[in-house]
This record gives sequence, structure tokens and C-alpha cells, in this order.
Amino acid sequence: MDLNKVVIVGAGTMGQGIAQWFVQQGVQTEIADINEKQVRSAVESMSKSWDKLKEKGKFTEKEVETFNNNIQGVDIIGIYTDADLVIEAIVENEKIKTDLFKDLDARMSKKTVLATNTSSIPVSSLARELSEERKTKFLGLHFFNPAPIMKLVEIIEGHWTDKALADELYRWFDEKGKKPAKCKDSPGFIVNRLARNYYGEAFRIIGKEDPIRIKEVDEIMKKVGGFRMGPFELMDLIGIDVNLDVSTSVWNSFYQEPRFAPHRIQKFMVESGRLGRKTKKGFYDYE
Amino acid sequence: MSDYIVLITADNPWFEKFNDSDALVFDMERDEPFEGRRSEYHKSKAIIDLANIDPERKLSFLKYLDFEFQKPIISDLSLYWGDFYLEQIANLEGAVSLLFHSNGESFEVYRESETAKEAIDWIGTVIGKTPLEVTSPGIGFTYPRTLVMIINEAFYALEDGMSSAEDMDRAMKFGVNYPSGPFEWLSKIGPKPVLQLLDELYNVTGEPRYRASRLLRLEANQYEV
Repeated sequence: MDLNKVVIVGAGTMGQGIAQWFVQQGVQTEIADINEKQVRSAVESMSKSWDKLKEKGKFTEKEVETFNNNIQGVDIIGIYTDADLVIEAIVENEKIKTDLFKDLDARMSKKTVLATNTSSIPVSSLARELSEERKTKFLGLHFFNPAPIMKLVEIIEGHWTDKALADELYRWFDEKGKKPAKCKDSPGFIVNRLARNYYGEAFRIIGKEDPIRIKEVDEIMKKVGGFRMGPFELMDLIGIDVNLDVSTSVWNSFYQEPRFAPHRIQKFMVESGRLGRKTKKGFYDYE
Repeated sequence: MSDYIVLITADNPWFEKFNDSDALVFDMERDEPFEGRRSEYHKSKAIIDLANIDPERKLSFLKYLDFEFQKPIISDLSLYWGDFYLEQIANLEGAVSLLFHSNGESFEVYRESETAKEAIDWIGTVIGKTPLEVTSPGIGFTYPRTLVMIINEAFYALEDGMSSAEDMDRAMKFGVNYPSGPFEWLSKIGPKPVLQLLDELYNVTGEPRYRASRLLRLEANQYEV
């Protein structure tokens, strides 16, 4: 498989990170957004990042020059219509994403593969209104933040996705140094499903809010388990509200299967405005 | 010679290390640990029980040790409702969790006496890890309990045909920096202890979230055809 031209739609943190990674693989990349300022800022930010990496000796001057030539910030109307792949990384709203994909389906070349970076919307729902031909060329490509560094990309096969296409992309990402993992279109995909109990069980172990036990559980998971962060400090970093939203979404998608049930402590933390590092108060105090 | 008696089953991951230690070690499946040995128990400072047996047998076994020898007991309670055992067994003065392979430098311990602390420190020197003291062992301590839930979910996902074991391992290591993937852990721990702890959690709490996946149960060979 050859990916020579890629378009990333959405110039937020994820879109920018994904675009940066593709450029670093020698792929001509466009980044587009409805917000022009955001696009400019994303391109500038990538450029600064490459300069820093050049100073650190990670890239040569020549490489950075090529990177800067290979990234273009464009208006959504002006994207390459003959791109090999378009990855959407916009707001997690099914209606907005569906409208975007319908528009792309109509405008893009027949060969273009359309992909979503969604973490919570079923891939098949987003493909439902596309042309029959495009449905086979539609799949999920779920990157992890920061995308230029985190190696995983989940390749999600929707109901209509051509299996051979998913396999080709798997091989392409593998060759480029990513660690692809293929999965079916299922709530939370792999990571957001399997990681639920890292948090969920921590709540059941402490039972009630208890700063000593919270610290203890984090210490155990790091010093005994070898995890980089304990569940509570990780929730503080992610945002307790964000974590609760993901837990609730997976739980509801599985028809309230008890294995995924959120815990009342999470809800209480959110209700009392203690959302983690971003509010300077969470399971730990950051004042 | 140390002053400890170690009772161990061969499926304990530290079996060789304890066998090579300076304690009096009995393989519970091979040796006769009690007959004609009474005086050795009475001379010992503490009895260290590292036998991996089903919960009811474990409780009876600890009660037997408690009643027969009246010596401090330190037990591996990785698979059991430790809080309950501590309440039931008068001489149970400490608990450790050694059964679950981990990449960390420490192991979870609970102690109620100075004798238990000394024995636990000795265990630490044998296995080359540092004791990490916890407020209570709860049900299966913290690390094993969290781990079995992650592994169980991976089995459910496998049952659903959601992904392959290899891809799930890869996703958890490279997407969220887990030190191992769920199936890599399983290969080091074995399915039986994972299932045993899930069953203990389910039996003690009655909560359906602890129901083990059928595939895991099959893997653990609980049902023989």
C-alpha cells in the first residue's frame, strides 16, 4: 500500500499530532479545519516542534526542511481531492462527523480511504450514510495522544470495511514503526474497554474517599505492578469528568454491564467540581 | 539456618527461591510436613504459609496451624479474603502477596506484629523484592485484584471476537504504557490463580462484575470432559 497524500481534518491536539507523525514518515500532508486560525497555529506548532527536535539532534536540517515543505494548512474546501487517505479528528459529535463524511464522500476521489479517529462513536454508524463503494473504504484509525510519540494505532473494522484494506493499513503502519492493533467496531475498542477496570477496581478497593488509601493504591500499582502511574493520579491527569464520561459511555454501550459500572465516588468528585489537575483539586491537591 | 518454617506448593512462582533458602521448607504436595516434626515447629520463630489451595481448605489449614502450634503465622493471601482470615485466625499476624508475577520492585504485605515484620523482611531477601506495607489485604490485595479484572475483560473481548490476544497485548502496552499485556501476564501467572481470585471476589461480594469469562474458566481447565 502506498500512502503519498494524506489529509487530516481537525487541527486540534489530536489532528495536529497525527499530521505531524504522517509528515515525519515522508507523506505529503494537509491539515484542515473550519477554524483557519487553528490551522495556522497547528502548522506553526509543528514547525517549532521540528526545530526543537533538530536542536536535540533527532532530525537533520534537511529533514526539517522537507517536513516543512510537506505540511500544508488548508481550508476544508481546498483539500486534495485525490488524497489516498483522509483522517477525521474533529469534535466527538456524531451528527457533525456524519455530515463531514457525507461531504467528503461526494468530493473525494473514488480511491480515497476515509477514516475516523473517534474514541467513542461506532465506526459503522459513521459509515451508514456513505455510498456503497465508500463504505468498504471506511474504517477507524484511533491514535493516542501525543500521536507523534505514542506508538499504538487501533485499526477498527466497521461493518462494511474491506478486510484486505484493514490488513494493508496494518502492515503499512507496522512498517512505519507504529504498533497497530486491529479490532472490531465495539464500544471502547481495545484500550478504552480493557483499561476501564484499572480505574473501576481502584474505586471498589478503597470503597470510600480516603486520601491514605488513594495514595496507597497508586503506590502499589507503581511499585508492585510496575505501572507508570497509579489509577488515581492518572484520573487526575486525564480529568475525572473525562474519565467518568468514557466509563459511562462504555457502560451504556454494553447495556449497563456491571463490569463497566462507574462508581459513585467518580460522580461525587465531578459534582463537587474536583476534576483533577485542571481544577487544581482532584484525588490529590495541586494548589 | 533461619528460624522459619515454609509450607509451599510447587505452583508458587518463588518455589525454587524458597527451596534454596536457609529455612526449613516443606513442599506440601511431596513432603510430609507435620508427622514427627512437632518439635521443629515449636522451635521456629514463625510459620510461613505459601500454599496455593482452594479457599475452604486454606481456612481449615490455617486453623489447623493456629491450633496445633500456637506460633505466629504469615500467609500468602493473594487469592483469599484476607481481612476475614485475619479475623478468624488468632496467630495469623501477617499476610503477603507473592503469587502474581509483577514487574515492580516491591510486594504487598500486611503485618500486625514485629515478628511478622521480621519474617516478611526475610521473605523480601529471599525473593529480592522490597515489602510495601498496606492498610489491609482486603480481598486478594490490590495488585492481584486489579490485574485479574483486566485479564478477565481481555477474555470477554476474546469471547466477543473483538480482537486477538496479540493485538490486545500490543494495544495495552503501546497505547497506555502498561508494563505487560493481559495475555502476557496470564502466561506468567497461569489462568488458575486468575480464575480463583475472581471466584473469591464473586463469592465474597456477590457482585456480578466479578463473574469470570467462560473462556477463562475453560482455559483454567476447571471442567474436565
